[in-house]
Amino acid sequence: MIRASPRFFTVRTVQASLRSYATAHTSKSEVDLPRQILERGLQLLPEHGWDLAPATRSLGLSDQAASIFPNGKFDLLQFYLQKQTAKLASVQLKSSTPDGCVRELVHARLLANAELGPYLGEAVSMLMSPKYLPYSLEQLHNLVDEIWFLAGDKGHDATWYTRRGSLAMIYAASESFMTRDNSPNFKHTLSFCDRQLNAWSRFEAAEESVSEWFKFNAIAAFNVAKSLTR
Amino acid sequence: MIFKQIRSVNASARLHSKLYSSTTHFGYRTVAQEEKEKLVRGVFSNVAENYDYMNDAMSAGIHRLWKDHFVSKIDPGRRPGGNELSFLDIAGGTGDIAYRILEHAAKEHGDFESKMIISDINPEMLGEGVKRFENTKYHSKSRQGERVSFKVQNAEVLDEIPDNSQDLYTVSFGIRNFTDIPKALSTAHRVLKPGGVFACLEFSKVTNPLLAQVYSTYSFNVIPLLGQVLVGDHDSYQYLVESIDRFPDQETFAQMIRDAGFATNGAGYENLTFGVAAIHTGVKPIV
Ligand SMILES: C[S@@+](CC[C@H](N)C(=O)[O-])C[C@H]1O[C@@H](n2cnc3c(N)ncnc32)[C@H](O)[C@@H]1O
Repeated sequence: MIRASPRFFTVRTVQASLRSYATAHTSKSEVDLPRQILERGLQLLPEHGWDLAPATRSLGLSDQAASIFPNGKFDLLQFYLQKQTAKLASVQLKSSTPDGCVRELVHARLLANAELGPYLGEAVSMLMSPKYLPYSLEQLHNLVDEIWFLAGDKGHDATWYTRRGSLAMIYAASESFMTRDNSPNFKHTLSFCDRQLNAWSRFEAAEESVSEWFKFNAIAAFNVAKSLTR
Repeated sequence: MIFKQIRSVNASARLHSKLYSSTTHFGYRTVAQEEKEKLVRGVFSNVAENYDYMNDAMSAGIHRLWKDHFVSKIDPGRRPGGNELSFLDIAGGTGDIAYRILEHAAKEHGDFESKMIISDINPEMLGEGVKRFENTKYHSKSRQGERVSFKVQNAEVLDEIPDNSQDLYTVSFGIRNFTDIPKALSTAHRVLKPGGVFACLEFSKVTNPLLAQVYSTYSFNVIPLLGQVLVGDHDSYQYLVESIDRFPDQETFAQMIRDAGFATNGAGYENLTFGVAAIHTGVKPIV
């Protein structure tokens, strides 16, 4: 079920993976029931969290219906992540530089988490659990890819991988930070995110060892993750 | 003794297949539809007592892991704020799956209320299940035992099971023995509630060609031999092997499930041990 592929830096468009997810083959009844359940799950998310039973119940289905999702709650989370990534395309960008656009998009994506309320923490610890990590990384990769695409970066030079890797780290670390942030409108999270983004562009501008930076952040993010899942 | 039984049944089966054009397969033999039921019953009567023992020998104990995985995948049990559930284990024979389901529901969901019907076409196989359950906390005189009932039923008919009454329908290593699989699938659809889940564990097709070669050599040669040596019954185990080989592959079976009116999530199946076995699931939409 879980593709244990370490190749999380593969190029794939979000749209493609959205299409391939939960595409139930149609039965006689011609309804995509799994998708219907997930959609209802998203509607009920702010109220009921990642549990699928409230969704199946509100559709008039047996509680047992949720068991067609092999990863249960995590399947709803994945569906949510895909939708959120896809939604970025409708963000009205104001910046004129790719870097500015990246910042806007990252902010937009982080702020979308606000509706999750207490369920963000549960989401982050599911994402960090070893069982789901390969999936989580794929989702993260798709998000970063989309951000890059929307920000208008067409570069395919040598720094392509590290740049994406760095942005992935910054996003993951900011999201983790967010689970403990009580400041109004997640002010602290956004400024945490900005500090990381600024430090990163300084390194980049100076063409200093981006990989040093990358390593440092990988360790930092790992520590945040560890402290969250303990 | 057993050999003789099988042979004589075969002779009459051949006669029948001459008389009726509607035929089905008994392993690789073509027999009249109505005979298959009898023949299958014969096989399982023959193997009933030794069934678990043979299963272990044949699959080197792997069938236990498959069954554990099967049950944890379907994650049965009453959910918080929800109603108790009705479980139906078809071709439940020795009660292996039913017992696991009840235990899972209790441990994972604190569910001590949901009901279980164990059903099988063969009274002797079902008898093994009854015997087995007598040694558990679900024995017939216990309160927990009241949750469990045993019914002799043909999966293609299930005349004692009302429409839209069940939350979960499980069938483990049973469906390939049914005479009319599409009929059994629409019966499953009939008895399940909307949102009820059909879940099937069955031998399937090994996809890797090299492994497939090894596996078929093993199953066609070793299993009947084991059957002969361990329980003195070559023919019944020969039948088991042939019936496995005849059963449709993963994709075909998933499509049959959809044709019966179920919705599947994605492909609708999961391979176990390179496809030696597979789990298929489907959910009944609101009708
Ligand atoms: C291999 S046993 C499976 C027992 C148990 N479910 C397990 O997983 O160990 C197959 C069972 O299918 C039953 N069976 C065969 N045809 C059937 C039918 N048409 N309806 C119901 N049960 C049937 C047999 O009697 C036998 O008990």
